[in-house]
Amino acid sequence: MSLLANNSSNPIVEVRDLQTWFPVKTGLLGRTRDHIKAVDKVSLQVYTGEIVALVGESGCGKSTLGNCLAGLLPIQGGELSFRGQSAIKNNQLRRDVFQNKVQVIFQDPYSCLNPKHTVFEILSFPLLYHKICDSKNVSDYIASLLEQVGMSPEYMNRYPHSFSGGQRQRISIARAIGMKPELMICDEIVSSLDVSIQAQIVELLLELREKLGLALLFIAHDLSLVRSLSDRLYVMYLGKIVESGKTAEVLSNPMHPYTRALVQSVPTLDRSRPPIILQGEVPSFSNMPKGCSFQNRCPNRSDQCLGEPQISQAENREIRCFHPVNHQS
Amino acid sequence: MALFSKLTRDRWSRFRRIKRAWYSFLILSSLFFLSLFSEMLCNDKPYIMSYNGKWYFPIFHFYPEKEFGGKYSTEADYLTLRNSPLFKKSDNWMVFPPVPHSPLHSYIDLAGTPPHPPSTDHWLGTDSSARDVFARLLYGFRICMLFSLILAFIATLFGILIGGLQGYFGGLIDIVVQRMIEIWSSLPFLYVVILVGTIYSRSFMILILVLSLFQWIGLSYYMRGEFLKIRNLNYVKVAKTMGMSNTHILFRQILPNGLTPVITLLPFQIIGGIGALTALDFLGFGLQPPTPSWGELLSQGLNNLFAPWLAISTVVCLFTTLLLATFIGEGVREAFDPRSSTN
Repeated sequence: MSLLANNSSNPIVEVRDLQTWFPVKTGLLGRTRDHIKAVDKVSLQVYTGEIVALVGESGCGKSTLGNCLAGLLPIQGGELSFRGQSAIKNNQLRRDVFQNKVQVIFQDPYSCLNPKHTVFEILSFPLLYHKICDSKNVSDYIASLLEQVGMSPEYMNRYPHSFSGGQRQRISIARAIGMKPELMICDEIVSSLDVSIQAQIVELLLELREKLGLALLFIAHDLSLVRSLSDRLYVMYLGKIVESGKTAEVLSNPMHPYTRALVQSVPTLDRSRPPIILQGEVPSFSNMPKGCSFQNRCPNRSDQCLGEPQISQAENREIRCFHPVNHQS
Repeated sequence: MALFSKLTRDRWSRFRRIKRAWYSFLILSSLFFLSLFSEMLCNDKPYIMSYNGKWYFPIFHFYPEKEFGGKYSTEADYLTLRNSPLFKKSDNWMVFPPVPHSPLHSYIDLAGTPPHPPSTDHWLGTDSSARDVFARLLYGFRICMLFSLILAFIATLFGILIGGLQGYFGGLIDIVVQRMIEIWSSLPFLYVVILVGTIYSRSFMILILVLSLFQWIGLSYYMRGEFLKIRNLNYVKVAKTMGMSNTHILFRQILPNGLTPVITLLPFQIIGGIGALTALDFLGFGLQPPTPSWGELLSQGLNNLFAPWLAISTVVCLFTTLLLATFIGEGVREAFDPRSSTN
């Protein structure tokens, strides 16, 4: 927790009211009838050296947010700044501001590496293209990168098909840290790996964070992983951040009804705390309820929930709810 | 370090295991290789001759008739020279290629009227201009194969480029280019060939140019699909987030993985090229006479039905070539079939 930022330092990446909408087109002429608000007014900050987790169920928009930060999707609105400098122009990410200081690692290690290129080629293309090192030193630099992620430099001339999932993920990490990033966005990077390999990869990331002073934005749905790993936590539901705060506090004392359900759905051996089974279905993005998007499943709903809830500050934490859960436990 | 990836080597060995395709490939490629040296195999000029104590190499060098006691400074007719009393009386000699006929030489002094039936001298007879059919078939094969290989190469380049750009950029570019392709492909291509051939002479290069304007369309559909698929794979996304240029992504990341349709369609492109050239020659819109060509021989065969050696020999050649190419194509497709890679 020592690395947790205080308010005086500037965040590496600050996102304010970010929106990513996908148009819904109908009819012969393809007129835009409506928008799917995959990411709707999301604000988050990542400070130097901290690990921030973004959790939520499948389809809540957390990977969309990651892709926005990676510059893969156009951004409809809001503000995104890197070290205080605005990084959005004409709905597109400005790469000159980011300067490869933000790197992304994707979930599926099998499709992340081009099967037609050797490890050397995979690692050297971006390095040479961005002139991070010249062609004379590139071989040494790649060897040092491979050693940093715990792989032998002998593997340099092999093709991806000869590696296991964990090794491929290590190569992806080596490719990312080769660009000397300040923030790495890890989009579900361990969810397709074996549990034992997961631990190794997480260990490696923590080690790299220490050594390189990296900040990590961890997109995940595994709460036990998030609990052991992250300093701060954002909980996302249907494109909106519903609760955020320090990981330990949020998970031990969830205040938003959705977070509470999420935390209590983690299987435990404790029979005194039966899981909360949410009623109802997740509403479709194209048919969102008016007001709070969680209202049709919320045990605490009232007529007030038909209005749009705003973020309120409470006990060092931000919650988007009219009826936060009061905890005694 | 392996030069080719494991997948490529697997496909190659799978192709070699398909006997029919592998032998077809060997036969057709060696035939084509041999035909590149047609001048050495089938020519009415000798490799080497000795005349009045001096050595001559007529295949490689031009000698006027005057040199050998003739009247003109045009090229000597060595077949006539061989039988002339002037040549025979001293110990002159010459060595001819296995088939001592040129595809352009008319044997007007043969007995009877052309087309002459097969004989020991002319194995497949002569055509209606008294030219040796075997020589014309051999040179026609070379022209045919060269033509369709160049055509397939150009068409493949265009197909990859246009289909790839469509698939990679998608959206408006895709739609606009696709509509333009549809309009373009609905042009009656025979009329274009006739028109262009009439305005600018019907030369080899112009025919290739006109045909390649149409030949790339089929491949571009496949390439578009392939690029559309691959551009959403994670390694392309990673390259994009790393700010790599579009050229790098298109040609270094996507293209090596999207070559399957190129390779599986290539034999069929070649078949299409052979078919197109033969058809055009048959109709008389192809290569300028007297270029040796199979289509022209076929039309002669049709006009001289009483001389079946013309049509039969040409049809057998055409059939064999197309069959071999089809076997190759089939084998390549089978070798690339992902279903067969699991076992």
